[in-house]
Amino acid sequence: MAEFTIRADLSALAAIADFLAEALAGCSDELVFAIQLAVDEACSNTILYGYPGGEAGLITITCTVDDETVRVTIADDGVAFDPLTAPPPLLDIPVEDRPIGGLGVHFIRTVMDSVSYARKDGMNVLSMEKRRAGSP
Amino acid sequence: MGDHLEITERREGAVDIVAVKGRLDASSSEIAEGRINRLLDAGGKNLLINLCDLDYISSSGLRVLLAALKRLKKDGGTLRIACGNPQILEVFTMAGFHRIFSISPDEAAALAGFPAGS
Repeated sequence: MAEFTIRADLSALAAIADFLAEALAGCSDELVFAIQLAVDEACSNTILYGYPGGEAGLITITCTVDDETVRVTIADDGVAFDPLTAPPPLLDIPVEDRPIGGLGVHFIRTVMDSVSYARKDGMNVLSMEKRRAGSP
Repeated sequence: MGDHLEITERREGAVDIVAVKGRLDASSSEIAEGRINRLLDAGGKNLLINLCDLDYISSSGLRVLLAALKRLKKDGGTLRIACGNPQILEVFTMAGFHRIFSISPDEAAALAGFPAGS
């Protein structure tokens, strides 16, 4: 298991992507990109909205990978927020009517096979799994 | 912020070409938005955004492109995107953006798509 803790600041996003690339060494580029996208969207939300008016806290990401599955958990000490309550975006409406935003959680749900949220000990914990290609 | 993003601009005829390389995420999208808005503020009506060397895009990056498209459509302008990276294109598809953007596989093809005389 690989674990990474970093201050919840926008400059952390590139470092988080690097951590995942290292933790997922040997996986396909497509898989690494998908995991990076899901984690980046979740962490971006936390960084932008999780610490209103206060000092940024810490985000801890753990990543485990075996032959079949990648599992990632993201824990932060920001305000309680379940991203999975966000309504799905409207993808089929004209460009003039498309709202700006609302896509991040849609991406997480699309690229991962399962996502769950829990509030534990004052922390938001988002747990995600993705099966590796070729595994049942 | 933005250490992982590189933006270059040039002009071909009446087309402004903005090449975006590296990572277009929540930390860098504001910089890209500022550069694009400066071109549009200067009256640019034909914008080509080259994403061929972009490594990564998140919903924050797409948001910048959507804002530019909305602004150009309102002003009677044209936005075309050049991108051949399958992972970036997959993000466009997940968002439904492949249906609302004109996307070409490379810059030359995107440039050829602008109306003659522009």
